[in-house]
Amino acid sequence: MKKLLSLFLLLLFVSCAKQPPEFVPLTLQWFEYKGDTSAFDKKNKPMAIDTSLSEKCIISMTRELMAAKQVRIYAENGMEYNVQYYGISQGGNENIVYRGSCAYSNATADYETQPMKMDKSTRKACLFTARCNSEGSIKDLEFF
Amino acid sequence: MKTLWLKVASMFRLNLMIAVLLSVTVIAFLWYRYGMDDIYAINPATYPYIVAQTDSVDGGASVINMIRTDSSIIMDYELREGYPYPYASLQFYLGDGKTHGKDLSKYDSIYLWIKPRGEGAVRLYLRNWDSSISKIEDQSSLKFNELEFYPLEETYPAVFVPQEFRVASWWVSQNNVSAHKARVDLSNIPLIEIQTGTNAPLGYGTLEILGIKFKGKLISSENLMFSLIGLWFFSFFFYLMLRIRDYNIQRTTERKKREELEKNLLALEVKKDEFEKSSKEDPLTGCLNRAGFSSVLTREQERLNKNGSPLSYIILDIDHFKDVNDTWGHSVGDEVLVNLSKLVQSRIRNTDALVRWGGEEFVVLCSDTPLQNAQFLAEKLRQNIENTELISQQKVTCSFGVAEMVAGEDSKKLFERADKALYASKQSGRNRVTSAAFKKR
Repeated sequence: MKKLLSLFLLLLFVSCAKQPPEFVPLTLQWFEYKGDTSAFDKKNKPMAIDTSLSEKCIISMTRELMAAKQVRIYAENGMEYNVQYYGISQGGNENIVYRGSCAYSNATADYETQPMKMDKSTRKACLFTARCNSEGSIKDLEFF
Repeated sequence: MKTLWLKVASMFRLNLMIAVLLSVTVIAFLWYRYGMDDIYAINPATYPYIVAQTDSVDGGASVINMIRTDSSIIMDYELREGYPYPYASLQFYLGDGKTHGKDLSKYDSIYLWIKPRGEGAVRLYLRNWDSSISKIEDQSSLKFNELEFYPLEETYPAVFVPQEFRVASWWVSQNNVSAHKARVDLSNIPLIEIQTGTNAPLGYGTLEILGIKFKGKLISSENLMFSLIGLWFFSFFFYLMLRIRDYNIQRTTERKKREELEKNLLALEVKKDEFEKSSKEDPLTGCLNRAGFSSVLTREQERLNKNGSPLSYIILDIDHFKDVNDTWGHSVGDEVLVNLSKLVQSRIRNTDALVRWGGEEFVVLCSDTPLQNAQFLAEKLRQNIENTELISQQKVTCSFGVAEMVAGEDSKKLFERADKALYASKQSGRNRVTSAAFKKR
């Protein structure tokens, strides 16, 4: 009983001790897709990306990814994403669509001209899609 | 030695001046008291302008005989009946004997050496020319400043002061002289007369005159006082002028010294600034060095801890820089460093600090910047570097590590984290940006 109490106190003490935050390396490579956007969805109406919105959206996307629960959980030793993005018109407003996949050093795809393949990966939180609206807010972030 | 004396004199010049003035004053008073005499003496034995006269000029019968000896003049006379007031006299002419005589008013005592042989008074006349009364052709119109005395009763010599004289009343009435004009005046005496006195007995008489002397001071006591006061006044005035001049010289000198000092101080401050700047700057690229960085970091850390203002840190490393040096030489390597620092400096804000961390590593400290914005900036920098021809020989790229400081965190932890992110960029193929993302437990 005495031993159990001591163990309990020790566990309580350790769990209450302030732990420094942990950090993982998150590498993001951005590719603006300049090909035909109907390759992703035929309903897409392509739209030129405004630079200021693009900057705002990239920052928002970065923040969302850094804060994403999936990334935090599964990026044990860090995570590197290739992120492809393109502009579409939705209800007359400019939106930017993001498609991301884990990067592998042997991958040589040209994401500026070729649509990113979203094949299921063995690694969790490896694929995601998201949309950035005309106000620079990230909507519909989904991990596969 | 001479210089020393001059210095001492300069230091104590007021004291010296007062001492000198006091000495001059005391000497002047003593000299005035015991000297400074102005004497006018007539020696009858040799004086040429002496005339003997009796009442015969007024219709009398008296006679006179004048005899000069080696030391005196002797007047033998016989007063006879004939004129109501018989007399005999000796006349001493001064100046031109008529209108321009001698000013005897400045003398304060008159000495008369006279020896009578017989009884009776003697008159002394100091005849004054007054242009408003006297007539040149009429000797009797000269004012009669008279004094009558008994020589035997007087001390020898007989001594008089000008205040003892009075103007003869018979002359005043005879010439209708106003009371204002009837005052004793000795300012222009062309004639001195020594005459037998009132009611002199008829018969023979002798009067031996050995000398006449007028004694006064070279200057009057009032003038002496005025002179001394003037001397004191002008000395102090001169001293005051000297002090004002000295003050002006001193002020000018001090102003020059102050200007010189200020100039030197300014030069020193400029030098100090230059040294401080050079001690905090990398000499090749002009960026901050580590010493310069620490002061900026401390300031930003304080802001973070105080206001929670986010602070991010970007570390960038030139990819394959060793190859650049080995292939093209260190001068080309230096060119890369210089051009890279210029490029990065032109793309960051004024509030950000670019630091050459060492070798080919640079750090950008981004104040008031959260991690995602620093990541974005790093990505922009990466693209700019990739798309810019830093050197003509080959393309240059950089790998980036980005981290954000946590409030209260040790800067070493931040560097380690950013370094790990950089390492990840290097490991995953270089020319990319990796952030140290916060992982929740």
